[in-house]
Amino acid sequence: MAGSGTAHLRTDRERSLVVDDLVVEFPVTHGTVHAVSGLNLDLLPGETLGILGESGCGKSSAGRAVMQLPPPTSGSVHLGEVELTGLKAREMRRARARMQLVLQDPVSALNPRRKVKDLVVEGLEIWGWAERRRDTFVDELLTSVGLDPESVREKRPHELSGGQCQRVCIARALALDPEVLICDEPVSSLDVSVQAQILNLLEQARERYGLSMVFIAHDVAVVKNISDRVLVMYLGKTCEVLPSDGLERNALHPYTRLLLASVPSEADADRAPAGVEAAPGSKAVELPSPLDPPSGCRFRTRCPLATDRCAAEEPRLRELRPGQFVACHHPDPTLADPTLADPTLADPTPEE
Amino acid sequence: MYDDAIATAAAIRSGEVSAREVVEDAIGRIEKDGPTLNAVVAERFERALAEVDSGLPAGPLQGVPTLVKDLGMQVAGLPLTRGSRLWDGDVQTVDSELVRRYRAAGMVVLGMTNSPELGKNASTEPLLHGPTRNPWSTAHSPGGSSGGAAAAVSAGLVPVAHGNDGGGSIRIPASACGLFGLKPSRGRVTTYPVAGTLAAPLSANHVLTRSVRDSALLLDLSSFPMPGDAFAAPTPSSPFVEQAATAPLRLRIGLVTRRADGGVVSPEVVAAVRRTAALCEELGHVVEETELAYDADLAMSGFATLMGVSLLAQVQHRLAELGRELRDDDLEPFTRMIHDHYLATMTPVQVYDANAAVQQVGWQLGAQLREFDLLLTPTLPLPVPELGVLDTTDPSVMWERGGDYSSFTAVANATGMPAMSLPAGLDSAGLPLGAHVIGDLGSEGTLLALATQLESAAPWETLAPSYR
Ligand SMILES: Nc1ncnc2c1ncn2[C@@H]1O[C@H](COP(=O)(O)OP(=O)(O)OP(=O)(O)O)[C@@H](O)[C@H]1O
Ligand code: SF4
Ligand SMILES: [Mg+2]
Repeated sequence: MAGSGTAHLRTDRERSLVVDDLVVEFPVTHGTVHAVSGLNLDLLPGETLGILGESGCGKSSAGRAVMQLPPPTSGSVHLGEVELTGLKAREMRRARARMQLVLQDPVSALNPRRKVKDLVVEGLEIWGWAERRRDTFVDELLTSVGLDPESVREKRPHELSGGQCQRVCIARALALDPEVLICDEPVSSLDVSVQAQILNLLEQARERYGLSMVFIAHDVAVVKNISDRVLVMYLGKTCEVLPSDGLERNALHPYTRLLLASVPSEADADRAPAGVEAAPGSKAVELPSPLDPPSGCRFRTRCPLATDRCAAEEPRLRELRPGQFVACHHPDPTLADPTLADPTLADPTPEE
Repeated sequence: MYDDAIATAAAIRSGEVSAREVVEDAIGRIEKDGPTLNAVVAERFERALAEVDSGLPAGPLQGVPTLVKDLGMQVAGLPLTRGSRLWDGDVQTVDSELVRRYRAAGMVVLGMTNSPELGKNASTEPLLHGPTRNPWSTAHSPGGSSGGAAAAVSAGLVPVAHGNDGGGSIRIPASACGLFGLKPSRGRVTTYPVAGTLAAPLSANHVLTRSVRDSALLLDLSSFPMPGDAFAAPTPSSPFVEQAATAPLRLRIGLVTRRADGGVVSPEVVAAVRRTAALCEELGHVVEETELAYDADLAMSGFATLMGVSLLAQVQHRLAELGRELRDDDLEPFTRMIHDHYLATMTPVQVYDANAAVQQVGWQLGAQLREFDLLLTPTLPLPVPELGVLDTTDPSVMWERGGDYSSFTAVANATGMPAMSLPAGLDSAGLPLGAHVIGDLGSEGTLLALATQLESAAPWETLAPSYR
């Protein structure tokens, strides 16, 4: 199998989404872009999985392939009992309705010529479902995403702010009563002040509608806040899967530690807002080409701990602490954020 | 008396006790118990006290008394007899680098501990100095070859003592006396100024301790590389004390209860290592039974040849120094037998092949250490022997039994891998049993972290019963 392992999958639990060995490749003139190389993940009902990784690591490709937009090069996606790969067009549409996508750029996701009241039920129209309760349903939806139906119902996207557009997009996704919501950088294009509101909204929606969520972003703080579990991706591969509680302290994979190290600290936060523009790893060297990813561990060309073994052998995910899975040949439990370490632990001469 | 070296140093730092009081107390213990145990074979008490009075280096172990093994390490002004009549009275003029580092840490060297002749026994009963007794039972062996060190620490004479390990010589006595003993990676601790013989890559220097943290701290204080060392162990990612104090990740541990050479393992010993394995599982590690996956004959032939050729070289250099031929009473009968055997049979190609053999064995065991993070085995396959069982005056007995006691430990010397012995309960005679854990080169931090976890989950008695 091409992936980095399946140890983190919870095969003994009821799962709303299971992704097996997902591969996404793009043929280009000079070869093949290996965007996603064997991704495995699962989602429990009501769970939020964060997918974290820097730009170009394959997060959007993975998210779209899960939605079958377009279908992956190989691998399978199960939504509940239904296997999506290979479904006929009509069944696929029906299945897809159970899984909705919220994208980064809400303004361009909306048809500029339509009014909000039409936009939020666009998906329903396809099914011919909502004829009867249309007006009340629209108002309910708008209210549930924190918009005042009176003031926005008749507006077009350009008359709304970015945050309001994203609320409309979320309302549109919720209109179909999905089981799984895939959010690809849903707040990255929004003002920092609006981000928290949208995150709150998603969190409320998840609770209210019993959704499971995949939340894709490159901002550690954003992903950590909203997720139960975080999957860290690098160059199409999974590095680490861990609970978001205690993530900063517990993260073990050298790549996760690099991402954490490039998050502005509390002290820096006064000077520069922890904005989405602070691209993780921007201090570090360029991402190797996904046309020709490094052998063995794909992170090895940037990893301070890399050895010969890392070039020769691909690390597989292993459970190194309860619920924490790491694909690394040289995991080191002392590699934690020194500012978070308990100083008494390292004291060689406790006075007792 | 304090629990370990770190606690002793802390008490001195806080002013609760003075360095002089601690050193005088240790001298008193050596004078009182030394004759029964025969652990200490040379002393420098007056000089040690003078050092204390003139001010010790302000290291983290300032004022902690210690002892150096009478083999492989030099203490200026003391003889280095190597437990052999051939080296009787070989007084040293300089300290070894390791001894210098102990002193720089603030430790006070009180003397030398007993060793079997040239370390060639798993018991410590040289003809030159006589047998060292096990503080747990004076009829029993303290193990070897760092048997004097083990007896001294388990009787509370000093909190830590230096040892070295060329086939199990730190781990075997640690097991026999209920102590913690870590053999570091090849190249971790410098042997300067004694340039390696061919045995140098096999043997490693470190300490026998009552606590895991003492072993970790002393490794930090003594293991930084000496410029020009022929072998260098992988640089630790963080200090060993820090690694020892950090809970290990979930480890895949291979449990081994059978010897690679197919020899006997006593059921009591198997039961003890299974108890340790069960404790590892309780702590969240994954334990799976396995067999040692290396060629035992290849390991033994390579190991024995490298040890043999170094013995020949040492004896010839000593004779050249003395300007005379070998006499009948220079070497013990067993040492003499090995010496004569190799002198008659050793070929250059054999030495070449032996070096290749230990590398092959390293790769064989290395492959297994991809599947497992650590391998857990008994330290000794048999309960602690009585004194006289490993009788070097009877070469045929030694030939037959000698390999038994190092059958789990010597492979770590052949491969250069770090390995530790930690206490694993008592046998039916009330003597300590040991659990032995091997990791890949450079994995001392992982070993120490697991040891700390086991030490706090099931604390062990660190002193022999009549010395508590
Ligand atoms: N249609 C395509 N044709 C060729 N290459 C593509 C295509 N789509 C994506 N890629 C490449 O695949 C890799 C993964 O891209 P993807 O958009 O999935 O990354 P991402 O993690 O979402 O990045 P970002 O954070 O910038 O959104 C990149 O190297 C990208 O250039
Ligand atoms: S496998 Fe090697 S290169 Fe990859 S993250 Fe771990 S140490 Fe670094
Ligand atoms: Mg993207």
